[in-house]
Amino acid sequence: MSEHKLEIKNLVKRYGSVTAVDHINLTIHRGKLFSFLGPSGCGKTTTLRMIAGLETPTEGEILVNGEVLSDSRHVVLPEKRNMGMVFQSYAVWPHMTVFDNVAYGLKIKKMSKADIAAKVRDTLGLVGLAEYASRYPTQLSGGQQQRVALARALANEPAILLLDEPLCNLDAKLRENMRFEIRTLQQRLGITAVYVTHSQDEALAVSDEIVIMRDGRILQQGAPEDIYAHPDSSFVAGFIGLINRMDAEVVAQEGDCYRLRLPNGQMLTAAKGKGQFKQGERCNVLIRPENIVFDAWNRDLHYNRLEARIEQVSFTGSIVNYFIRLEGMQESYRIQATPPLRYATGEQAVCYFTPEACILTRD
Amino acid sequence: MAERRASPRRNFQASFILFALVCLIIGLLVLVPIGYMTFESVTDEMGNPTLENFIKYFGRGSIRESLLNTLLVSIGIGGLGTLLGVTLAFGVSRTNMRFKTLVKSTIIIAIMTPPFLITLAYIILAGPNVGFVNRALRFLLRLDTTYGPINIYSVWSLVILGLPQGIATIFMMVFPAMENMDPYLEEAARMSGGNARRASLDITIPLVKPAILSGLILSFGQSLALYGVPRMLNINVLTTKIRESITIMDFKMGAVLSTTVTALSLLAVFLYRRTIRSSKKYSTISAKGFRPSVMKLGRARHLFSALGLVYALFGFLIPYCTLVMASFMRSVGNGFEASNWTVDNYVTLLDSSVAATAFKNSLFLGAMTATCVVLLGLIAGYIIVRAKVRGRGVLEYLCNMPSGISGTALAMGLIFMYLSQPLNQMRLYGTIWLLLIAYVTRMLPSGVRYCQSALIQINTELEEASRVSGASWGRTMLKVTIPLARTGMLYAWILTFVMAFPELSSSVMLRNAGTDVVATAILDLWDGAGGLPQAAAFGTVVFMLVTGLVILAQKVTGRSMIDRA
Repeated sequence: MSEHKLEIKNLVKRYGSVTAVDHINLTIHRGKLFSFLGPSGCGKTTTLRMIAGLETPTEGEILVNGEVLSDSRHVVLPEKRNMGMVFQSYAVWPHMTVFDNVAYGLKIKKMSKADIAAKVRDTLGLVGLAEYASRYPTQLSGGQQQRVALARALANEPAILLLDEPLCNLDAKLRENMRFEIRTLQQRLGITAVYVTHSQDEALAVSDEIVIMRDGRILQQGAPEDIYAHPDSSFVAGFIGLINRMDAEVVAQEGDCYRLRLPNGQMLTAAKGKGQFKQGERCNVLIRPENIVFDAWNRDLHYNRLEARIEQVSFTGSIVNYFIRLEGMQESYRIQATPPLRYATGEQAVCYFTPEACILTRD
Repeated sequence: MAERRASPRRNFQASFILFALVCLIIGLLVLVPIGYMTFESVTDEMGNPTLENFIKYFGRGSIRESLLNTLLVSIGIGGLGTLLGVTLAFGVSRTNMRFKTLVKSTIIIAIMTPPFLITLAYIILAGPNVGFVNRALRFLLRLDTTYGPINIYSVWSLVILGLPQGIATIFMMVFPAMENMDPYLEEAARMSGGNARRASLDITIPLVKPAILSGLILSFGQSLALYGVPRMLNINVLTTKIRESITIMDFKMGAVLSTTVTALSLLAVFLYRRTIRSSKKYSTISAKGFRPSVMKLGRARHLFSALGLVYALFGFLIPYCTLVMASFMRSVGNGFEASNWTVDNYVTLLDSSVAATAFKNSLFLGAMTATCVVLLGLIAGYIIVRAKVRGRGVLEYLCNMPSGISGTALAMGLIFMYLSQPLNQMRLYGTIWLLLIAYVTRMLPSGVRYCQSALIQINTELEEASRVSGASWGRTMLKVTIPLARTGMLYAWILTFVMAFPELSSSVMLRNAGTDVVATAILDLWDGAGGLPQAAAFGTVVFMLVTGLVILAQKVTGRSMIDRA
C-alpha cells in the first residue's frame, strides 16, 4: 500500500519565454535510485528543485504516494516534504560544527538530546566521519564536507533523498570512490533517491534507472545496461558512452536482419532491434568501439567484415584506441581493444562486428 | 489511492507579511515626504494646482543665483573630482606610486567625516581676518592690511572644500573596477604592440568607463545636497535657501526649492542606475582573484606620488591638524604664542549641558538609526537578492532614492508631511523622533547596500539546505542567514552609526530646543556661542570618534572599505 512512489505528471517550468522543463512524466518507485542525466541546461536540476519544493512548476503536478505536493498554484513548503537533499556546493553551514550540521533537522523535530546525539553518531558513522563531530566544516577536505552533506540529508530519515550533482566538485579519484559509497548506502538503507548528474559514468554506476534529458524533454528512460545497449537515438548513444556512426540505406530484409548499404557501397548485415525500417529508407548505424574486433574467431557467429587502414593508435593503459579509416568514407572510426598493441599507424587491418552489435536509429 | 491535497501553502507565506510591511515602511519613508513637498510646490494656498510658485520664486534674482551657484558647484566638484579621482584610482591600483596607504586613508576619512569639519579648519587657516595663512602671507609680503589676501568666502572655495569628498566618491567607484579588471586584457594589448600608456588609455580607462560615469553622477548629486560647507562659507545655494525659507516662514519657497533640488538629484540617481545597468555588458571586469599588474613608471611616478601627497595634505593632514591645534588655543587670533595654549575648550565642553545634550542625542540617533537601517536593510536586501517576487526592482530603486535627496529637502518634505492633516496628530514635529525618521531615510541606501552585499556572499544553497532539513523560512533566517551575515551586519551597523552621528543638513531643519545634535551644536558654537576654538574642540572629538569607529569596524569585521578582503 504505502509505496513511497514519486510521480511527476506533465511537469512544465518556464522562465519567461524559456522552457526549462517541457512536459515531463515519470514514476519513481520506492527504494530505487533514479538518475537524471543530460548536458547542462537540459532541465534536470530544475526538475530536482521542483521535486524539493524550491521551485514552483508552471504546469503539472508532483505527487508522493498520491498526495499532490506541487502544482502551479500550491507548493508544499520544502520543510514539510520529508525529503533530504545534497547540494552541488555541499552547502554545509560553515558557522556550525559537523555535529550541529547533522543535528539541525533533528532539533527541529524536537527530538530529545540523547536521541539526537545517538542519531548523529550513527549517521556520521555511516559516512565514516564519527571522529569529526566537533570539527568545523572549514577544517575538513572537500570529500569530507561532501560526506557531512550526505549525513545531514540522511539524518532526518527522509522518504526521498535528492542529490544535485553531488560529486562534481570532487577530484576524479574521490569521485569514483564516493560514487560507490553513495550507491552502497542507498541500497543498505533502501531509500528512494533522485540523482542529478551530467556524467554518464556516474549515472551508469549508481542508478537503477536513468532518464536522459535534453532541452527540457525526456529522450529515453530505462535501466543503465538497457540504455547503453539499445539507445533510441544517436544523441543518447553518444551521450552514454562512445559511438561510431555511419549513414546507411536499407536495401533488404532478411529474417531478423536488415541488409544495409554504406555510402562507399559496402554491404552490412544488422540485427533489427527496436526500429522498423522500410526498404530504401535511410538510417544511422551505430556501433560501440568495443564491439569491433580484429578476430572473427567464433564460427557460430556471422560477422560483418571491414577492411581498414589504421590512422592513429592511442594507448591509455587498460585500453588501446585505434582510429581507422575505410575506403571511400569521410570520417574515421574508433575501435577499443585490450592490450597488447596489435597494429601500428599506417598498417592495413581487417576488423569485424556482429549484426547484433549494430544499433539502427533514425536520428 | 485517490489523490488528495496535502495542506497546500504558498511559498513564503509566513514571510509575506513581513515583506509587505518592510516595503510599506520604506515607501512611507521615501515617497510620502517627496509627495507632500511636490504637492505643496505645485498648489496655491487653497490647494488648487498651479505653476505660479515656480514662476514667482525663480523670478527672484537671489533664487536664480542660488540655482546657478548650486549647478556651478556641482558641475565643478563632479568634473574636477572625476579628473583627480580617476587619476588617483589608477595611480593607487595600477602604478608603483608612493603614499598609497596615505591616499586610501584620506579617501576613507573624506567619505566618512562630514565636510563641514574641514571647512571649519580652512576658515581657521584662510579666514580673511585672522586666518593663519592670511596673517603669514601679510607678514611675508609686508601687506599693510588686516584683510586678505585670500578670501575663503567664495564660490570657488566651496568647490575646493567639496572636492576631497567628491574625489573620494569617484575613487570608491573606480578603484574596485580597476582592481578587479583582468590584467590579461591589458597584457593582450601589450602583446599586440601597444605600450603601457596606450594599453591604459585604450583598454583600462574604456573598460572602467561605466564606473567613472556613475562616480561622476554620484558626486554631482552629492554636491547638489551639500549644506554645511555653503552655510559656513555663506554662499547662496539651493540648500541654504531652503533653510532660509524656514526662518522667514515662507513655506511655498521651501517647497519650490526642495522640489527643484530633489528633481535635479533624482535625475542624477536615475542616470546613475542606468549606467550601472549598462555596465553589465563589461562583465569581464567582475572576474575572480586576480592580482592587478602594477606598472613600473619612470618619471611619471613622481607626478602620481605628488598628486597623492597633495590630496592627502589638503583633504586630511592640514585641515585636521589645524582643527586639533585650534582646539587647544584660547583664541585663534592670538596664534602660536605660549600663553595661547590651553585645554579649557575641552573642559568647557565637558561642563556644557548643551554639548552633553547634543552628544547624547547624536549617540541615541546614531544607534537607533543604525539598528533600524540594518533591520530594514536586511529584509529589503533579502527581498532584492533572494525572493522571487515581482516588483523587487522597484524596491531596490526605492531604497536607493534617498541617496539622491538632499537632507535639507527631505526635511522640508517631512515638515510638510508631519505638520499637515492627518499626520500632525502624531505630534512628531519638534521631537527627536522626526529626526530619527529623517536619519533612517537618509542612511537607508548605504544600509541596504551593505546588507545586500553581505547576503550575496551567502550561497543560496546554504539556506535551501536548511529548508529541506525541515526548517521554516523564519528559522532559516535566524539560524543560517543572520549568523552567516553577522559580520556584514555589524559592519553595516557601525558604518551607518558613523555616518548618522554627525548628520547636519536634516538636523538643522528639524531640531528644536532639546533636540540639538553634535553637528548643529558645532555650527552654533562656530556661529558665536563659543567661538572657533570650542567648535574646533567639539569637531576634534567628533573626528576622533568617527575615525576610531571606522578603524574598529575594519579591525573587528576584517573588512576594508577599499581593499578586497
